[in-house]
Amino acid sequence: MATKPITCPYDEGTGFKFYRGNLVLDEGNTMKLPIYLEMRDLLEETVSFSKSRVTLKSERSFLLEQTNIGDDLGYVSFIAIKAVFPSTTVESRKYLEWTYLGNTYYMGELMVLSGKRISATDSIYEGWLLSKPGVYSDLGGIVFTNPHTNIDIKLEILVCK
Amino acid sequence: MADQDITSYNFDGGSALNEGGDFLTGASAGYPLNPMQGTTGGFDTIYTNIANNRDNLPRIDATFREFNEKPELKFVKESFVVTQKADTLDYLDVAYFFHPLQDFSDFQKQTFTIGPLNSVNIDPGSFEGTLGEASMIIARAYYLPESTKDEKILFWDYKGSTRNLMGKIMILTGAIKKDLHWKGWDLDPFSTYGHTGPANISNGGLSFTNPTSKTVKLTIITAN
Repeated sequence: MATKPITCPYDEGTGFKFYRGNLVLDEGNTMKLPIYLEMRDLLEETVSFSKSRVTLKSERSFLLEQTNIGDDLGYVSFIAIKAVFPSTTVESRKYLEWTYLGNTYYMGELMVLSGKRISATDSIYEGWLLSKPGVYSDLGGIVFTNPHTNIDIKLEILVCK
Repeated sequence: MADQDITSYNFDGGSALNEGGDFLTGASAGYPLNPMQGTTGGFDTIYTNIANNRDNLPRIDATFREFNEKPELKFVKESFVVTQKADTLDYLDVAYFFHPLQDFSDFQKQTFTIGPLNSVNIDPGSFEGTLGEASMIIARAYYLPESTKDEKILFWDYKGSTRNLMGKIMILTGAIKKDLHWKGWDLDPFSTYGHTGPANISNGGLSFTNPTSKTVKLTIITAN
């Protein structure tokens, strides 16, 4: 995904963006932006939160753990991560990896995870466990890995419970 | 107490024995007034004498505020914002997030109503240009107003892996390349792009499960 270019006169490429509380499709040649998803009605009560910024150096990893933000078992209910790549980065290289409970996935420039911890019928908890590994569980936290050799990625992270 | 009787009562705690009054025994919470006259009782009650008659009751003008109001997470303009009353405590700005649609790109919006204890597999769409991979998945779940906090969740499975949780919103992104399997989210469970064979979720696919007894509405935007 590209950083939205600034071009005068208004004639930008087509793409999705957030605008005035909605997800809209910007077709680059009009000020009337069709709304694809309303976001302004999103409302969650939070008890605690944290905001952090991390520079993920090339070929390095970072463990996101927020033991003090989570509930009594280390679970949180909202995680939002924004990744900022250098402006010269081509589209296909704007990615990093994240690992949670042993599963590795990809992430581009934005990720939002949500959900309040619940107990399943087999007594295993489901949710987003961000306690430090070894505190409540051996598998807590999310590991972010920068797989690139020559790109530093800046992460901005908002965690809420 | 809905007492319309202006007769004086002495509620000094230790005794309400007075002319026209009723005796309050120390270890009892019996009715000092006849409940049929609109008062209530039968529970532990502490009486404080604030007026001897109705005319002496002080008038106050009270505005009730919740001084322990919890912070809230909202989406305002182009940011996820944590607010408390009128203050912004912190925010995550996503104004510069832009997912371009290239010449090979496609996008799709799907809306499901997922019944109790049901699952849906999202349509893999027509992402042949990127071999079934999507680089943007935005999902919003709408729960019934009577749902409890524990009922405002969905499970999601990607390629049949360990299930994860979703509350009201989920945004997943990745990177795609034309005609290549790259670093996106593979939404296609079919081994052929004509979808002529059986679906196998280990090939790809994203499914959502409603583990609750309440219906959930789910809207998903996918794009490559």
